[in-house]
Amino acid sequence: MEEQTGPEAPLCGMVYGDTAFWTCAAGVAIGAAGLVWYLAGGGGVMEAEAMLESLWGGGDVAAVWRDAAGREAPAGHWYLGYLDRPDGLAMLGAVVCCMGGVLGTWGALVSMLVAGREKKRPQNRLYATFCLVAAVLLTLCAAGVFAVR
Amino acid sequence: MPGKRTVPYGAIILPAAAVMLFGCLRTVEGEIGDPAAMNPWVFAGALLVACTIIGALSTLAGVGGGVIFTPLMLGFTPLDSYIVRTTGLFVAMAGALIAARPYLRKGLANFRLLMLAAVPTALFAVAGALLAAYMKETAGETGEAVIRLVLGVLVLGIGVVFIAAGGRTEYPEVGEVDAFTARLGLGMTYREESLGRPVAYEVKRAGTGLALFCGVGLVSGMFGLGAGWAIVPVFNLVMLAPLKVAASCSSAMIGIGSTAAVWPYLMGGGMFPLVAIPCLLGMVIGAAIGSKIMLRAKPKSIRWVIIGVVLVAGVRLVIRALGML
Repeated sequence: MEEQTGPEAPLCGMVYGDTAFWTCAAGVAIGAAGLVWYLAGGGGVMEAEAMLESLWGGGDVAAVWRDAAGREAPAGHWYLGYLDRPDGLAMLGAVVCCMGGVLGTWGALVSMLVAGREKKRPQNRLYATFCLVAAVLLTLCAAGVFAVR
Repeated sequence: MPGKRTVPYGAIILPAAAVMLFGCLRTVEGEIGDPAAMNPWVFAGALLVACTIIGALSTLAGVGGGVIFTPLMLGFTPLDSYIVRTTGLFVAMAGALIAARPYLRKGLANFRLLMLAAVPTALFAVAGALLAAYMKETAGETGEAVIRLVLGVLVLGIGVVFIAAGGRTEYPEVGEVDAFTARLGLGMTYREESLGRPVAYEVKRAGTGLALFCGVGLVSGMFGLGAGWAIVPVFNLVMLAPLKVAASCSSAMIGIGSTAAVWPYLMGGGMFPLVAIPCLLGMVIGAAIGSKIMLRAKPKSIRWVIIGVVLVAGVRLVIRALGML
């Protein structure tokens, strides 16, 4: 008996999935490189042994920063000023991972608005609006608009 | 094949994995007793192995890693709860972003369904994360104890949800679709490999689903859980989506919900590369191992290992929280 093929998967879903996957994979690679450099004694912003001691002493964010870096906990994207340091690079990897969902949502929105195959689908505008709301929300989060300091 | 002896992979691998997991956490805990002997390599290695096991178990059980990671780390290590929740959300998010791709490429994950659910989940996940940060700033030691206690009770409830999850149905009977859901046009068709043909489905009760996703987002953001444990039942038992569609949509949706929730934690300084990156690598490696074992291990034995881990972590959290109060 001949097997029946299924319908073509929506392009917006594929764009979201691919963008999120590859961005996250890039983040994993950067983070791994930064971590190995850090553990090999690359001279990070935070001193690893002191950080561990503070972490395992149950220290909160402020205490860990004080003990490991001798300074107040910085807010926001602190690592951007320390990309030449191993923990700054590892942190960049983590943030690139977090950008996967943000970029994926914007990619899905663009495919919904531009690709002819998507535009023909019923209620495309409604779901493009949902996608826009999600994309804007995630972007505001990434920009640090929602944070308690 | 009659008479052919099969190796009980589940019976050997899963208890061994559970013992190794607790062993790793004990190793990590042992480091505390002797701060002078603390070694970042040992610490990162123990976290990597623990998260590899968590990643494999969670992939086998079809849940995000956060629901196992956060209670275990809070129950068995003295790490600050804000740092653990940040890392829990981060690993759940990264695991989901990696895992969702094949489901979306095959059309198994319904992108419309997940976008509809992702908006309230993400909004309330941000609210939950902000609430958690506010509590951290204002409630002090008591707030820390209350968060652990509530999470412990919640985790015990999740264990009960897992036990009751045997009632999930592969292809629920939808019947008549309500007017609101019908207007949203959420029905779709996907190719079911096991049947060798396309399966068309509809969903219902979109309004109830949306209300429930607000609660799911709030809990996920506040406690640093991935929320797959709640998303699948809402899709499958409330909105009556087929089980495979519910599970694949959940995987893709955790990526959006946890991304929204993790940023406020990250901006609050709760992420430390020495903790987050080994956990991330472990989850990715574990997910790859889990998908290989999945073909051989029995789903029932996996489910009971997860239930055991979650219940032990829940009881431990409650005991620790009561000791702090």
